[in-house]
Amino acid sequence: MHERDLDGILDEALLLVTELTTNSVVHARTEVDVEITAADGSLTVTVLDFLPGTVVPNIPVPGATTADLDERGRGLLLVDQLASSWGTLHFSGGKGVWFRLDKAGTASIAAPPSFEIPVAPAPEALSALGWSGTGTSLTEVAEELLHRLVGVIGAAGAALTLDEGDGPHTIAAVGRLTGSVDSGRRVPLRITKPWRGELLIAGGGGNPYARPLTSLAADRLMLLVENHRLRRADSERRTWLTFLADASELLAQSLDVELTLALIPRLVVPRLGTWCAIHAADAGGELRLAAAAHADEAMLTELLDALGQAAPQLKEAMSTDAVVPLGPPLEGYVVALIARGQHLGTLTVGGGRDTWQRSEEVAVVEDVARRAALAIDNANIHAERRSIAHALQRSLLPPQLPKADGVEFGAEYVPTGEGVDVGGDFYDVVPLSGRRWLVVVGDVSGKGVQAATVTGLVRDVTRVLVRDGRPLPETLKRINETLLERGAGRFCTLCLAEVMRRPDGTLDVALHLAGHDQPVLLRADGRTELAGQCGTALGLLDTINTPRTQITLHPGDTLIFYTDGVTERRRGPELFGVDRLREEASLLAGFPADVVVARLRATTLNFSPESPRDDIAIFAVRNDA
Amino acid sequence: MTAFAAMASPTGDGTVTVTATGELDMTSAPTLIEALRDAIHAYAPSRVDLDLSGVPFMDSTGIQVLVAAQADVGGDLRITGTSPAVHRLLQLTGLLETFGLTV
Repeated sequence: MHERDLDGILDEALLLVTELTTNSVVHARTEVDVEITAADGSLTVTVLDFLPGTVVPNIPVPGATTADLDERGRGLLLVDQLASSWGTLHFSGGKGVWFRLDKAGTASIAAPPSFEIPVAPAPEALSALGWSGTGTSLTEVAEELLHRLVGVIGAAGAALTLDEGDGPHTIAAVGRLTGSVDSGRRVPLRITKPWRGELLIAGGGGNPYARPLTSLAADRLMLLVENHRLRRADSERRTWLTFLADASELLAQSLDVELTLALIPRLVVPRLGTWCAIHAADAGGELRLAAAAHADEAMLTELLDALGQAAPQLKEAMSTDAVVPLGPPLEGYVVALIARGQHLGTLTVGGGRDTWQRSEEVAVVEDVARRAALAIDNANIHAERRSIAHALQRSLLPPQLPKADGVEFGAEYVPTGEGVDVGGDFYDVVPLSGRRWLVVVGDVSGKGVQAATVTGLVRDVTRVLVRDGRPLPETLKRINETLLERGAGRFCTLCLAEVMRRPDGTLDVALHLAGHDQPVLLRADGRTELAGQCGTALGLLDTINTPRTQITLHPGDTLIFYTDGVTERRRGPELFGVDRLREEASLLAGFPADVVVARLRATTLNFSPESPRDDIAIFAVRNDA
Repeated sequence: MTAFAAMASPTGDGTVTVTATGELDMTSAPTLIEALRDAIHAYAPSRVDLDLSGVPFMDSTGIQVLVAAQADVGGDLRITGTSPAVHRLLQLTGLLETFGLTV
């Protein structure tokens, strides 16, 4: 600042930077970026935080004093008073305030600062937490301790034995033990059950300090063994936690019921048992085998036969919510699959007795069962939602298109994503008197049940009004009024086309566009053009303008309607676009209407490997005379 | 895809200019809403000029934001610049005149 001769505004700059950074720290609670640009005669400062939202929570109304404002408001009031100019800045990751201070006598019209969108600093990686031992094994430390003990008390030998539930093992031994243990001592170690341990001393009874030193050594060994046990338990627990986390992630990825059921036994075998079976409960609570796995594929048939005999135990597990053991030949146990209070079935696991009787492994299986049950329930809910969405979507589209001599209709509809939301796109054909039909193609903004409600409203109001003989401009005006009153803030683009068959074999089309994309007119010889004049979308403004365009379809001509899901289909930054649609349509001259829409649907979908972001509707009217 | 950003600055005659860059769709619309809200609250302008020439793509969500913002400003929201894609969408939906644009 000194180099730029800006010392005179240093105090103001410091004050404003302090105010703005304080605001960011207090209100956004994120990292703060401060960008400073010094030019001859002025200083521009931008203070950015990484919390999206508004910068100004309250309005500094004219005449307000600083007492009327909270701290943040006071900060901005100071900026407003002291800065030559200031403004706000928003980007996808946050927001900021910039200000400019001019040196006395150099005031100029301030241009906002140029900026690069900042990237929020990554938080420091959390250091791993865990037991940090010396790395020396239990055997080595125990041998060293026993060696010292034997030397001090003059014993012939000493040993540490440990039983982890599978019989005693000698962990460490020094000196001679054979035949002389009986004349020595056995000191049990006070360790956590089911583990048991003993310190064996041979000889050394003549030393007056033998007893207290042996007792002290036993305590030291007890601590070593407990430490060893806890480390092993911790290691096992971490292994199980990793396993459970991986299992959860895999289960969460599937929203298909059958796939989820098939996945569970594959997760369990061979990690938690030699075999695993899933039985799913139907609406009446009856169990059916849904999936099974065995480490030895050849044994699967035998397993399924044996499971057929275990129906009483499966029912017991379902009714008691307890772990129910299975005797020979299965050698396993059954756990109920319960999610959100509902009994969804059973998980049965088996293997060698030494495996499944360990309580911690049973606990892990119970945990897997809980997670599996939630995954199954989520998949069921998803399937139900998809079914409801499909049913609702079907109700918004005509069950079949009318058939008439000389006129062909074709339609294709592709819902967005997983098909669990109802789209806003729709089409309809309303038969009118005197060889006339009204084609309706529309797109309500948004998705989901609310959009579907508005879609139904638009479709039904349109049907009622045109069947009542109202002219199309009046129909559109009424729909606009209805949406402004009852559209819940949603708007709709709509295309109404009244198609009439003339005695000479031509089709007259009266076309009104209300914010909708212009349809593609495909001539019999393959030439294409965009038809219709743009009009106002419905549900946005009080007054609308929807000009009428008259089109004649000669034999072999096709009029293709579509929604923005077609033209806005993406491949990276590239859009499918109207020009590409026209090119593709020109190749389809002479084809029936249903073939035209099917081909365009395929071309649109194949344009990008991604699933559609928006639903796609394509409708065609063809003169088939 | 371009990251979306919006910047507000006063022009000295009671007008605030909001300049947007990047794609305006469902995910970026809240950023523009916040920028427009801030511009209206901070400066209480008589008019808001919105420059969308740096917006290569806009969908129907953007239309809703613009119409709602115009109501917030009391009817004086003017679009001073558009990209071809934005201009086409405003033309299709019959909103060019509403925002002070011509065909």
